[in-house]
Formats: sequence, structure tokens, C-alpha cells
Amino acid sequence: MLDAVRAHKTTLIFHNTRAQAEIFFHNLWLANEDALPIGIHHGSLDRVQRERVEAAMQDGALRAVVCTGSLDLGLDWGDVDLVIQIGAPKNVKRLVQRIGRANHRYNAPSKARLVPANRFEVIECRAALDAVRARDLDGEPRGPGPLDVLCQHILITACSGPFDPDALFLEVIRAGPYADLARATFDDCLEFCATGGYALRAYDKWRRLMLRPDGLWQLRDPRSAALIRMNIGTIQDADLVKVRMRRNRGGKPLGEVEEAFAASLSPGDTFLIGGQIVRYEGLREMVVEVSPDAARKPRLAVFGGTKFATSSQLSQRILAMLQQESWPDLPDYSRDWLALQRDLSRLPEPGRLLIESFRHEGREHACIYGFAGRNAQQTLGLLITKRMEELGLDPLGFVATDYATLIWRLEPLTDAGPLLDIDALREGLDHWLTGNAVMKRTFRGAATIAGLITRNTPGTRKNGRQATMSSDILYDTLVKYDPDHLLLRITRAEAMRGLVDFARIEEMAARIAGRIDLLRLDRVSPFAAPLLLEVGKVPIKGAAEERLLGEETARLLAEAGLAAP
Amino acid sequence: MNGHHFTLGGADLVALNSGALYWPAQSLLCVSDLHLGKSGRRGRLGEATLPPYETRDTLIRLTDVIEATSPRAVICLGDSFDDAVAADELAETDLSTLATLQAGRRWLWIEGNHDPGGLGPGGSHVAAYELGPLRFCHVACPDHTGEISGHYHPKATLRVKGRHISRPAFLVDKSRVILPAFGTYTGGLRTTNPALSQLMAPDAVAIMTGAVAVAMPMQRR
Repeated sequence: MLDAVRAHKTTLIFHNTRAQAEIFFHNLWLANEDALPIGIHHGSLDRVQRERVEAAMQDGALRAVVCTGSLDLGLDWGDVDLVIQIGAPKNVKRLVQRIGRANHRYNAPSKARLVPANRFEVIECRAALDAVRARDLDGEPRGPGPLDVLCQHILITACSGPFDPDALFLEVIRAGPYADLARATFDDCLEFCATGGYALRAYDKWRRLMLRPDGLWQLRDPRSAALIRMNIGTIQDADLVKVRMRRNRGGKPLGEVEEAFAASLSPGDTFLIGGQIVRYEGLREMVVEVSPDAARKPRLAVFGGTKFATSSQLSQRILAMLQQESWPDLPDYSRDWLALQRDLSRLPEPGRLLIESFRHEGREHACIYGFAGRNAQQTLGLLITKRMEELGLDPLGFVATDYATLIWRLEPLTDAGPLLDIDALREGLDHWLTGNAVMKRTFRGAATIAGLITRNTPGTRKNGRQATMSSDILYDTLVKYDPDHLLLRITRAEAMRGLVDFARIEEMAARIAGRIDLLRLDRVSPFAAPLLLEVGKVPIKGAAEERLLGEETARLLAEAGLAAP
Repeated sequence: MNGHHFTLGGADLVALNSGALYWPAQSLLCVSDLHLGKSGRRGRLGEATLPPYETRDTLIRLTDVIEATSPRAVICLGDSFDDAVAADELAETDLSTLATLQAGRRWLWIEGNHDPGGLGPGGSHVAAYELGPLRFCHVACPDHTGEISGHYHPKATLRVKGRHISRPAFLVDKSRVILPAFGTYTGGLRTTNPALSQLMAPDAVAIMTGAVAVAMPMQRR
């Protein structure tokens, strides 16, 4: 990699996740014996740091920048003459976009290198290049304009002064994504902004917006404009907390990590941010405080970053490639891997669904090769384990990648048909959706954008108590008492096309049409092996969690010398 | 319904999984920090119009635990209402639910920082209350023993096999019990917060609420 950087003026090195970018940058730096000026740029870094890298880049002071999607668009740098994509591109359009960053002039060819990170990504990269050559660009159809964004727009409009609802509606439908917006839907959004739009009319007196006699709407309390303005924005990146050096080490801000990641840290844990290893010291006024750490290897590096799903078109190309007699275009280690899979098990086929069942480390595993993309494979894992739980098949957990879902449990799987019945899955979806973490995450996004949850409040008291209750409680309350509420409708629509991606499961079901091959193997198959190492395993929160909790608390009590209950 | 049994000042008490405290010998039930009318107060302040169902939800859960224990007396440990207007604007249905719950039993509203001076329909209003070896009040006082209080909304977190479980919890040591918040819209304060770790003895126990009440050593850092 450094040789390539040395041979070019400026190189952009793209990664799919921030964690990957951090790990890569760290190791690149350790190997950088010539001390080439190299920077890192991604969305979790402190803005000052990002701007410094951007400025240095524009001045031609940097030879390479390790980056993520944060540099996909927007910045035009004529001096970039090489793009390196680390990992599979996931999406043909994005690959073309990234490659185009090099020699960014309409009449100059771009130069790029693809660096697959494992055997499977070699295949995906090859399929993506074939697609680029065939000019077969993928891309999901753009859905209708989201209603949470419309709600925010209405509130912001009210902040700038009284408005006429008819004029605002006419203005909104001039925007492409909202061209088909029904007036009734617009009115629902207006009602939500005014009173919350609840079945229980609790806010008629203390509404947020009120209708004046002249037919214009305005804020009831002009002071609420400040709060609304402080919470403008539609980019939702999970709840982030700031990371900074301890005060006695200068207190320098380093960037942000997801709140869930921060909550999982214990004092002494080390992780990477901005290319350096830091040690977690503690959480102080909702800021993660760290100190520099001399270790060469961080213990953890799992924060932030989108997990793109491999596009439909690309998945189909990969499946088609697997059907080839031989693979002269692939390097021998990928070729051998495919051949071994064909010998020991079977290669997945476009019109069938392959499921492998095997025992590994004392647990039974079932690996379902749906090739439906990460989000849909994740949903499939959730739906199937839920069905297993209902049938008393005690699933322990699962993990999903772009091409498969691996489920583990105590007993072997003998009949997969009933678990994969699409009608049952669809039925389970409605039921399952309501109590699901994916829905809660989607709800938090929609509720924040629509102005129900405020992340920033003026003069927040820092008394250590959480300023707000968790959005999960609001979600649970709405599901229980107001299931048809506008925000739940928005959440369902968003989840279906986003994180749930049920459309891809439907597509898969149509493709396989009931043709399921359940193979019993006496060992892990070549294709299933990488899944055992995959991060992001989802434990099933059933009776098992209460049992774990009981065992662990009893152990802790005994350890502390306290009487067991 | 289930609970964790323990003793405070010689009295046998049960920390119920719902977050209520039960004293069987006195047939007494105790809950803290109901924060009724919280969404309404936020709305009045010009903040977001939160789903206005938390009062109903809190009262439904309170009804469940009262029906399960049939106590002769109920003590609400303060911050029962989010403010005075919240108490005044309680909906008819919620008022009648409260009246039903209060019928035939003793009902004590203890004052909290959100509801000073005694708010709430029916029952009697006191700043604190003593019964046998125990003293009931809103905020813990380091000098007292046999004390039952609320105010801090404690929550305990546990990392087990890579899983992060965080739930409202009772904190118990030889001198006091701090109750979790019973209200639906209430955030939580981690037991690692100095306010709690300085108040509780080193051998304090946290009792997590949820499907089953489980005790664990209180985490302090």
C-alpha cells in the first residue's frame, strides 16, 4: 500500500466503516518508515481535526488520506491520482463514485485499486468490476419524501413566523419527493406539530402551534423557537458522545463514539480514535475521558459507521459467478475455497436456497445462504429465531452477513421448510416489528427528526441524571396506547425500506419458490467458517437472558461474600 | 409478581419486581417518584408534546401491584406529581382510578422536590412519616437509619457475557433503602454516580426490577 502511495501524488484510501479505517490507519502509520504525510478523515472525528485534514489535502500537503463515505461526495480535489478501495464495494454505483475521485476531470481516466479483505470479497470485487464494465449500475428507487422531515420543516417554518398552511402545502409539493403528498397526510403532519396528534386530546390547551383567527399558524410560545432551532437536522447517526483527553492531559477533543459503545467500556479498555490508541478513564458529564496508551494493539475497535448492504444486482452477479465451471479470473486461494465448498457441501444457486446444518464447538448451527444483503439477512435471523422460540426450538443467537445468516442452538435443525414459509414470515413480521430493537432505533431517528425528542436543550443541567428518559419508553407507550399514531406509521415505513429491508426477503422467497436444500454436514463448511468470526452477533433475549442474569448475579453475590437471596 | 426479601431495622421487607416495596407485617406498600403529569408539564413549557399516556400507564401498573398485595396502607414517597399544575390538571379518569385505589385504605402523600407543600387528591400529606423502626421520606439523609426514600431514580447495569443489561433498581444497605422510580417517564441514575456511591455503604446491594427481582452487589465505579 505504501509503495502505491509513494508512486502517486495523492491517494485516497476508502473504507466501508470507521472502525476499519481506524485500524487500517493505525497499522499503516506503524509501517510508514519514510514518514509520508498521511491523514485520516471520517464522520466520527472532531470537526476541527477533519477540517485540518481537508485544508492540508487542498494544499497538496498530504500524500494519502484514509477515509470513509465522508469523502464520497462533495469535495473536489484535482490532485488525487489514485483511489484505493479496501474491502468489498457493496454497491456498483458507490464504487464508480469513489473511483471517480481520482483525476476528477471529465476527460481524464481515473485510476483505482480494489483491495478485497477476504476470499469472499475477492469474488464480490470481481463481480462489481464486471458490472461496471457492463455499465450495469445498481440503485434503489427513491421512495416518497419522509414525513418526519416534513414535520421538522413545518416546525422550522413556524419558527420563522406565522404561516399559511395552504401556501406551505403548495410549496412542499413542488419538491420532487413530495409531489405525490396527499393533503390529508400533510394535515396529519401539521396536527402532529401542533398537538402531537394523539388519540387522547391532551394538548388542546398547551399546543405547540396554534391557529390564529386570520387562518395563519404560529408558535404558541415564541420561546420554543430556540429549542426547535437547536435540534434542526436530519442526519441520524445513533446517539453519540464526545471523546476527549483527560483535563490533566490537555483535554483535547478527539471525536465521537456511539453511546452504546461508550456504555460498554470499562476503565482500562483501550480503543482507537483518530489513529491513536487511547485508554478509557471514565464518563464525565456525558463525555468519554481517555488518556494516551502506549499499547501497540487496541483491545476494542468497534464503533460507528454504516453497514452497507450489498446491492441486489451485485448479489445476483455473485450467485451467477458461483455457477461457473471454473474461475480463471480469480486468484487461486478464492478458487480453491469455492472448489472446496463445492466438494464438501454445495455452492448456493440462484433459484434455490441452500441451508447447511453442522455441529461446532458443542453447538448446532444452521447457515442460510439467502444472498439478500446484510439488513435483510439480519431481519431473516430475527424472524426465524423468533419462530424457533415459539416452536420451543431454543435458539441461542445468530449473526448475519450480506450473503448468509448463521443461527446457533442446542438441537440440530431437521426441517427448515416451516421456518422459511414466506406467509408465516410476513405474518411474524407485523407481530415482531413492534417489540423490536431495530424498530426502536428507527423510531428514535424519526421522533428526533420530527421534533418529539430533543437532543440539545439550552442550559441543560449537568446533575448526572439522564436529561431525558429513553426513547424506548416513548415507543413502548405509543405502541400500547396509540398504535395508529403518525410516528409509528412513519417508523414502520422507514424500517421496512431501511434496516428491516423485508422487500429483499420477499424477493428471495420469490426467487427460491420453496426449493430448499438442507444439507447435514459433519463439520463447518468453507463458506460458513468466516461467519463464525463475524462481529455483531445477536443474542436472543428470551428466557435465556433471565437465566444468565440469575446465574451472574448469584456468582457476583457469592464473590462479594454477600448472602444469596 | 415476585420479589427479593431483606431486613431493615428488624423489619422484613420485600423489594417487588415492579419497583414497589412491600412490608407484609404492616400490610404496607410503598412506591416512589410517580411523576404523574410529566408530559403535560413539558408541553406547558413549550417543549415537545410527548405521548400523553404516562399517567394512565403508571396508574395501571400501580393498580396491578395494589391488587396483588391488597395493602392496608400505601405510601407515595414524593415526586408523585411533576408539578402543582400537573396535580390540578389530572384527567377525570385518572382521578377516579386514584379514588378507587385509595378507597378502604390509608394513603400517604409524602412531599418531594417536584410536589412540595402537599399535592394530590385524597389521602394525607406529610413531609416524612415514621412507623416502628422505619422512617419514610423523599430524599435520603446520611445521618438517618432505617430510612426508606426515593428521589434518585437509581438504575443498575450489569455486563454479562458481552450483554449490557440496565434496569431500575432498589439500593439496600444496613441503614436504608432507596427505591427506583415507579413512574413511566423517568430516566435513571447509575449507581456509579457519586451521589449514590457516597450515600450507600460499601456492602450495599442493588435489586434489579424487571421480570424477576434479582439482587447483586451495587456497582460503585
